[in-house]
Amino acid sequence: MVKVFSPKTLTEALDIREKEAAMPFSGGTDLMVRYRAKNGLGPKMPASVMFVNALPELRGVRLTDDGTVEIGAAVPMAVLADDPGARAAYAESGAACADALAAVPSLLSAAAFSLGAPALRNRATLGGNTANASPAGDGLCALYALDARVILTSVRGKREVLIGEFVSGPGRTALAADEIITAFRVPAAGNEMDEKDSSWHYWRKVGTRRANALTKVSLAAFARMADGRVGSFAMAFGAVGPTVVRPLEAEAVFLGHSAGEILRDTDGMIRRASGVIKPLIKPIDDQRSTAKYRKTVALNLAGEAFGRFAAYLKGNEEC
Amino acid sequence: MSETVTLFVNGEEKTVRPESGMRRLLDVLRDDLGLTGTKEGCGEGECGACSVLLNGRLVNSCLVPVAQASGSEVLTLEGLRKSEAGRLLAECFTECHGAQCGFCTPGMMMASYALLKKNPKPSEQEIREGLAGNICRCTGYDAIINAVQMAAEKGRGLW
Repeated sequence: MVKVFSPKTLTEALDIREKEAAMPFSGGTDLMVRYRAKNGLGPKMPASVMFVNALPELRGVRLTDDGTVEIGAAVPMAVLADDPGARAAYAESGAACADALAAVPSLLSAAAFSLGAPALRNRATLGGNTANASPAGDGLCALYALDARVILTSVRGKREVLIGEFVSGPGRTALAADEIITAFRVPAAGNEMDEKDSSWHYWRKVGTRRANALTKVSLAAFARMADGRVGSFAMAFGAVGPTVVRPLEAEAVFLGHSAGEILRDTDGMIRRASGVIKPLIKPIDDQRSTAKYRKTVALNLAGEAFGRFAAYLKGNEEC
Repeated sequence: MSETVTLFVNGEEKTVRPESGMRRLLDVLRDDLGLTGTKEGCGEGECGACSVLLNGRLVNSCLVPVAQASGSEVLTLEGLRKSEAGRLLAECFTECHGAQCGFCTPGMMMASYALLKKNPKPSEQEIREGLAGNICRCTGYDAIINAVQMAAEKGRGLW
């Protein structure tokens, strides 16, 4: 029978993780399904389990001095998604203050809201979604577009890894045997009233059903203006390869340009960016969808995102 | 020797001795405590038949290891229907024909209650979002949506 640990503090958890190599277990929405046994029986876990979702150190959300927001790995998706009442209750519980919660990027909120349904979002966490490392992970896809940094902690100390470097394949990550994912660092939602520094996002997930559906294909995109130019532009395609796909060369087409420059040559830029994206989308056939469908839809989503981005730039210019 | 787990189920303190802390809350409720109002549908968190409130929040009890719920308050259908809010919800489900075969009904009622507690005046869209994790194969959903709307209307101040 596997051992089950319920540490009360991070220090205790890190100690158990090192000595027992116990599997960090957060909301269980992936792990309970993956290791499911017969009805009436608990899951058949392959290793000892350590519950981490009650650790106060993993439940905070805080603003940092460098314009990022640090989101604890065990903050429930319902809080990130801003489900009715979820943020208010979370702030009231003292886990995080309302200001920090308001700085959660809207792209991440949108992705979290499309994940599962209320009951799953009450349990699922960003840490679990990332450790699961599915190329179809909705939270993970948003983290790629936000160039999130994963904060990993062990008895040896702390390190930060870029999300794209942390995930190495389907279900595979750079998590060391003694480490726990403790938090994520993403750009804080800025002051959207200032169009020169405003940000834009796109999120669309395609599945068989609006709720509780695993993603067939998804696209997250995020841009931030800096002094009237495109300071950052990122796209992340979900479920079209072994990991989330970032078309860096397509992103570069828009980077550094002013809204005016992009609007003068929108069609040409979109054509160039789409040309780069096309060969990067290499989906597979599986029980959820076919490669052909996924590729077609992924390119359609890219087209829609470019159109929305151009509309956003136009709106900014007219301000 | 397995460890004991104490839960506060429908307001009553219950101590169980599961053979593993990974035993599902669903099985503890149904098999150990005889609370069979909570149903097992898919066992994978997709159908919502096993919905209960854990510390006031809607969860799929098939995905919760009982040790993770240690010390928590659990509200099941049996507890809900003893309350005024639960009685009203049941009445509205009956009146609107929101229950046919009845298998999804306990989960639907738990999800409806969780929604109304957070949002006592939900729009139709908000009701659909709130019940999105609960599958019904009989009603076509409209009757259930009507039942929640009726409960919101009749139950002002109750949630």
